[in-house]
Amino acid sequence: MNFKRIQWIFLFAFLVFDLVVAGSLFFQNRFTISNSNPNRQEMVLKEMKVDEISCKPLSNQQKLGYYIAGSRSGENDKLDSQTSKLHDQNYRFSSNTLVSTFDNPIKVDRHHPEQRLNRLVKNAHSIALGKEYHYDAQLSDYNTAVYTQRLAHQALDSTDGQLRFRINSNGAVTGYTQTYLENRRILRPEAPIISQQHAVTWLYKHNLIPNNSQVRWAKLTYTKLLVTNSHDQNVYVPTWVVEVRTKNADTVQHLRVNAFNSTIMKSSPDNVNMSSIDK
Amino acid sequence: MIKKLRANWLSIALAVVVLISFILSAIIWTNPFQYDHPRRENGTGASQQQTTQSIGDVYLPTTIVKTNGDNNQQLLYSQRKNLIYHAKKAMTGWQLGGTSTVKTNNSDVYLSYLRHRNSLMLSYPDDISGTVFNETFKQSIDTNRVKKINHIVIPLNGTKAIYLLSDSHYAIYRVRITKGSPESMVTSKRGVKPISVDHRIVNGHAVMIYLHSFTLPRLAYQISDQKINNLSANLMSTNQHTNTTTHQDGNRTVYTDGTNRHLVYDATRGTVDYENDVGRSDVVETSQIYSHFYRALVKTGMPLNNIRFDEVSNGGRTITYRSYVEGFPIINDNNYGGAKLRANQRGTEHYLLSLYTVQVPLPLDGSTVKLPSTASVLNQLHENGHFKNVTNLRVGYEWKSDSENHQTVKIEPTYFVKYRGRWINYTALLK
Repeated sequence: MNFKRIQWIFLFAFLVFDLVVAGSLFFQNRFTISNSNPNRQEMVLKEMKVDEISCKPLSNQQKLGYYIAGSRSGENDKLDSQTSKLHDQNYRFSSNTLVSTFDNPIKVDRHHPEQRLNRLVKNAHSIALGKEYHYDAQLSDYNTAVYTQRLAHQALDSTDGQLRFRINSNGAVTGYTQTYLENRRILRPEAPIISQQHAVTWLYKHNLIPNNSQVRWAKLTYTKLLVTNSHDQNVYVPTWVVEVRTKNADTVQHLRVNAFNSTIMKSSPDNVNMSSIDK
Repeated sequence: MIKKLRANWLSIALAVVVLISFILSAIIWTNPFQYDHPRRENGTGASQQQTTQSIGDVYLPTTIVKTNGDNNQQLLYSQRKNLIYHAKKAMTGWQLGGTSTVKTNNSDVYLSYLRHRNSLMLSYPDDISGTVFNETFKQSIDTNRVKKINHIVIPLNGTKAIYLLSDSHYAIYRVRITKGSPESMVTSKRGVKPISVDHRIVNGHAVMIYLHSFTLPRLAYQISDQKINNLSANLMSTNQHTNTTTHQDGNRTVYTDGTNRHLVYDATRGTVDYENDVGRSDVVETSQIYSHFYRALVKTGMPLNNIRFDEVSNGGRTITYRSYVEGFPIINDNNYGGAKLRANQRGTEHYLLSLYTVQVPLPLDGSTVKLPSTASVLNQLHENGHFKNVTNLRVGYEWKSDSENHQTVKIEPTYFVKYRGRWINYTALLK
């Protein structure tokens, strides 16, 4: 090997060394930033596919949520006092629920009752405080059309703020029951919550989604976390509700994940005794 | 001459690349920490809890102050909006360029930057490192030049730069904005209650003072308690096969692994005192302490939702973390809702933790507390003769330990003074 050839090899080797080192020095920050959470979640999503769990594309957007306090509207409270405006129906208010029967049943399309009912709900003479409720297709079924109250732009997933229309065998709405959450108050400044994708992958990682099943939808709602003895106020928290259907047994279950701290919501809210501090 | 060059061009080129390789090697050798990045270890490993809080969420500025064109300063306080979150989100979208030093060791100039006209200022409770700033805001400013940061001043008058201020040596750095517009950070006033403040330099500290008396709400929280079995398992577990032994000593339970880990749990107070002898060879570098302790906090399994970095002391070897509500720290004698982590140079790590944190806010009647102006607090301390022992002052929420009630707590806002190294309610000194 002649001297010139050795020089060539050295030149090439040092050139490669310089480029690699300089490259890593200048671009190191870019490299580490891409190495963050979402990628790990993508990996979990791939694992889910292997386990034959199907789901629609999930959003990775980070939203903000609140802790919100409120109490069920009772006798002589806001909902009760608004009933005086109601026309063409027979109503009574008992155990914090408004129960009403229409004088003339209203014919609706069973599969899309909202097409007719949306107009009715917005009319203050038909439904008290109706503007605060939105149609909820997921909670509605063959015999019931359900509207949920809104809390911080999300549906309130609780019987404390619902409008339930009864649909009879002729496909007509005969009446409804209504509950209303009032004295709503934000308890703490907005805080980031987990994304839709995070909620579903969290459930999978904790073995709560069985193999060979389908994640049908995952939506953000507010659900009741605590019941206090201070003026019957409750605390509501942003929650991801995920519907999972197993393909073999064809069973459907709803999983609820607290969107602030990624824990499974208990089936009934905790009771908190505030008498020692509420003076 | 040219002929000679042409004849030997290969040798010359070789000499040049060898020289460049020397220079690059020198750069790497002199800045070893540039290669060490705080890693985000969220939810990896079986023993770790699911944390959604990244290192940038724990090391966040806690106050946001707006200075108007007429030099009036207002602390932007909100019970609804998370202004720091929005500011952080906006800034992570920017691209910051070159850094230069504006001035050091001049307190008058420093104060004028703290009161920069038409600006927003984000402040940390204590010094953070340039590396932490980069990690939080996804930037890559020169951490050789900017070692410590206390305040981020964002001019809103069209200047394409931000200023990073460090209380130690009154250092002011200018960082160019190559992409991004600070003007868009002007926040809407809805849901924001401004409180009149000003900045002074007291005993070498930049202190925020409240010009008039103001009101803050009383707040109530449900207390969450971590199970001691989880916490001790998280801290005592290792890769090596060791047996943890426990023994009861009155109200205290002592856990040891026989060699270098030692944990004492006080059942009456709910506090944990943990010591780990990692050995001299594994002493964590001071420049790595912020990320090292973040990982330690994650490992404890403590919920980090409201936890913020609060104080660094002991030459950068001790860090205190506290729960924050609406921009104010919660202060408790037993470290409830917080943690104090220390790593000394001899290879011992010492953590003071508690099982109790506040997580879920509870509805209260809406009663408020009227706080006096800072000047009147200082005057009262003067009259009492305690002023000379006070080194710092701030507003926070007091969590009074109550051995009867571990379910709920009512926290009240008050002034805290740093008295003989500890934060205490100023009214305790007036008695």
